[in-house]
Amino acid sequence: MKITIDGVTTDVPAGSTILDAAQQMGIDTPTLCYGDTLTPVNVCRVCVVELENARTLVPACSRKVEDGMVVHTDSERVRTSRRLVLELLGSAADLSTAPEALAYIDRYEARPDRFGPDSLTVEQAVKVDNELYVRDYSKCILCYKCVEACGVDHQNTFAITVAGRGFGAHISTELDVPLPESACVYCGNCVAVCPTGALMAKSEFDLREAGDWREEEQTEVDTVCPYCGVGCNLTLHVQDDAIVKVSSPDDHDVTRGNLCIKGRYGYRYVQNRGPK
Amino acid sequence: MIVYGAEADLVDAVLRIAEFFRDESCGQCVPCRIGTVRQEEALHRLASDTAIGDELDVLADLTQVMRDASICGLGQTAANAVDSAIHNLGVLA
Repeated sequence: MKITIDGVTTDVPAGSTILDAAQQMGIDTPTLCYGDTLTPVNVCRVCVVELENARTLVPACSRKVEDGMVVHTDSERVRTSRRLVLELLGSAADLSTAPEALAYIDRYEARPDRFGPDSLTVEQAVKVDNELYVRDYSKCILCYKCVEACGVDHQNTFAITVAGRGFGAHISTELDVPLPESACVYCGNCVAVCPTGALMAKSEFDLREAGDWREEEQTEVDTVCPYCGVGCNLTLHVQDDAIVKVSSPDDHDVTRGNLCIKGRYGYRYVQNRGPK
Repeated sequence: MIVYGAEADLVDAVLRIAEFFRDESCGQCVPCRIGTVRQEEALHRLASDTAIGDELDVLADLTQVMRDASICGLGQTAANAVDSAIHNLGVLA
């Protein structure tokens, strides 16, 4: 398949998306709801590009390449849409723990405060109802990644989905019950894919609350999960000689970034140092 | 096309149209979910003389981006009547 992006023509395999083609050409395309282990839902609209002869912009993350497509990724029209989408997100949700979104806001010179101080937001109390992870939906941009990770893309648990509609659309457990009463199995795979920190390990949340989360000082140690025989790769995030978070590499053949409750949260025995 | 009598309250009509689209948005994509809210907020500020400055720029951006980047026809047309009232009839302009 031949596609011309920003004046350069290239060949990509059939079935590639415009995003795949752009990445192959080294074009940095912003994405928020896209995840390389998830089915694209193309809802955030920050990856939109201009496709010649199309009525509207198209989402690069999900639009399949057709032979002869001519695409512009940095036209005024594209930049305007990306900027306004970022302004809308930044005006409605707290992006303070969303480094990618903040970087895009800088890149597109977006001004989320342009809508005024009385703009409706999704601000609400943090949900702390278990010891493993917290849900701060003031930071939720409704990217659907957690829903996909909990559903058919990863865990097949279906503990959460999108409830409500319009600006009131939000992530909810069944009947909005607290997490411990829901179908959640605490794999934390939703936490792993959340791009804004709306879902966060309780350990990280508590350290941030205390002002003791120092990411720049943390080291990452790759190891293998000590529990079952699957042999998932773990990345231990270590601060002050203690494990403060566990993740798994997205590109690992076995896990694709996923873990279970034991691998992601069952590490405290490692540092159960006992009374001095 | 919508036809109004000469004595119709077009500000009220525009506000109701904006409210309708905000209410009808399914909430899936960002331009429509948040854009229809910001559109209605800006129109209310203009209608109540509480404008903060660049409402017309905000509305023009929303018109273009909801049309260009929303997933479906509802978001893509959510600013049509508002934009038409402002630019063709001078409502709130």
